[in-house]
Amino acid sequence: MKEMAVPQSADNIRPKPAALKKGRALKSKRSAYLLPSGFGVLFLLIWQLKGFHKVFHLEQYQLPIPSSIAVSIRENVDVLWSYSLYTGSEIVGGCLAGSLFGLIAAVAASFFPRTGRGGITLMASLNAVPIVALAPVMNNWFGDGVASKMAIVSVMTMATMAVSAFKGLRSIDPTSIELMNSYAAGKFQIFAKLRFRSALPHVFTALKINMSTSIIGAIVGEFFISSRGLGYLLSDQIKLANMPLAWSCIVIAALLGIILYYIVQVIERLVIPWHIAQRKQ
Amino acid sequence: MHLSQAAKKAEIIVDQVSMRFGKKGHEVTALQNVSFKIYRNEFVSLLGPSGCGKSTLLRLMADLLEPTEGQIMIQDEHPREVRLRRKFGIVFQNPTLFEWRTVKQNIELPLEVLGQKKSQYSALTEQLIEMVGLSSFKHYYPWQLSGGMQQRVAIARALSLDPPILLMDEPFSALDEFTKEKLQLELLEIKRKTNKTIVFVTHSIPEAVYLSDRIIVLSAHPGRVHSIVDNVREEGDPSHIRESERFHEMMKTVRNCFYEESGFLDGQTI
Repeated sequence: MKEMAVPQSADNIRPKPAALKKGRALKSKRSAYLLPSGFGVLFLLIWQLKGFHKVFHLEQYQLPIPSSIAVSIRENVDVLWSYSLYTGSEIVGGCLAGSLFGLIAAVAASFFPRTGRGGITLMASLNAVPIVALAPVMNNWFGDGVASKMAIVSVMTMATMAVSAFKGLRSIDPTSIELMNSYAAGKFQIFAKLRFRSALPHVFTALKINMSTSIIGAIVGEFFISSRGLGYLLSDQIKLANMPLAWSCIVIAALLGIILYYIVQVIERLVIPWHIAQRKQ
Repeated sequence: MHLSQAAKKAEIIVDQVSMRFGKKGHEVTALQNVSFKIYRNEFVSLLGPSGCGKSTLLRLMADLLEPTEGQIMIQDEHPREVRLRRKFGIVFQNPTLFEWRTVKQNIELPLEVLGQKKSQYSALTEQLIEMVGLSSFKHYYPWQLSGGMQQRVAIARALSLDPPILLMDEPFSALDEFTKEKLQLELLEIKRKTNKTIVFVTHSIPEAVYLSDRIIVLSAHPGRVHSIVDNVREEGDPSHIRESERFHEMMKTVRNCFYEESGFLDGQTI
């Protein structure tokens, strides 16, 4: 991990050839964007020219072409916008609530590791509950509004956070603990100044995974009982065989997922700039 | 240095200390009946091969471990008291810096734990950073520093509470030879300025001979005090010690302790 900075052997900072390094970084950054977006454009082009239709023997009512999806998005922009906010609030609210609950459980367990470990294992078993079983129950408990979908998402996300954060809180370098003990630091000081800080990378990893899980939870939750949202619109339009609008929902949901993931990533970079994965090369 | 031992004040008394690890029946004896004294303002090295329990001994002094038998007194108190009153600073082989803290913030960690206000200690931190020569790196993160610089931060951090005792567990053994010599010189300079009692664990004979007033030579399996070598370091310019006749004589003396032990040379000198 140290060779990224300066060689261990030298006791001084090696001067960087700044101009050269900057140029190389710019080039690699550019190619990091160019290649995937070039591939994306090619993919859309083949789709638009019905390449996939020919290969898989599909008709346009089965797989609408990108231009007709774009037209459909433009025609339904108001409803798609309001449904995105609706589903987005289920995703974000549920994910934050579930992750927070998981984090609290992990923190509590880390203070009593012996009994806590069992509690975390129990919580991990929540992941075994299938969403299709959970959704009707939650709708039954919390009605067909935002709350039931948030509950589904919370249940789906809390175990991941609890397991990951607990692992982070417990895997502390023992010498660091000895160091804190040598200052006669209390349990809470060790938690605040050492355990929690070094668990943060684990917390963010769980949060990123949870963001993706939450989208599935919210949309599938809406399939069951809902009168609004992207998931509701998607299942409704498929029943009506209005494929361009159904595909619009899929595209918007995917965009929503990318945006939310990116937001978590930006926050991560701001909160733990010191972490090895965040360091600028 | 040439005071009689009775006139000197014993800072650390290790009395008949034994340490065993593991479950009953499968115990490993790390230390057996270890006794010695360390006097105020002394620089004492605990020297020995791997497995002689020298790091364990240091952790016993720091109250990070408790002895199976015997006792340790530091300034006439149990190590627990001494630790709770933060009367020693400790430096490990691994710098053990917190990755999320800058150089300055790492040095301020013990002061923060103590609950002091930032305004109270910011001048002190600046002074410590200056002392270890890292003024232009105070806002750097540990990963941006070389190994030697990281260990300098760890030393400054150990000094931040101005403890009378400094415990060092092979602090330079992971560094290359050039950096090591530089830091050894700097440590002597710090010792001259602060006059702390320093207990220094090492497996390097030249390092112990270069730095110490006295060397406690330990032998392994189980760890015991083999011998104690007095009056090791001569007064004078530390940058020329290594070239002196006396340094080489001392090296021979200490080295012979080990060869005697292993029966390798049957007591003849090299």
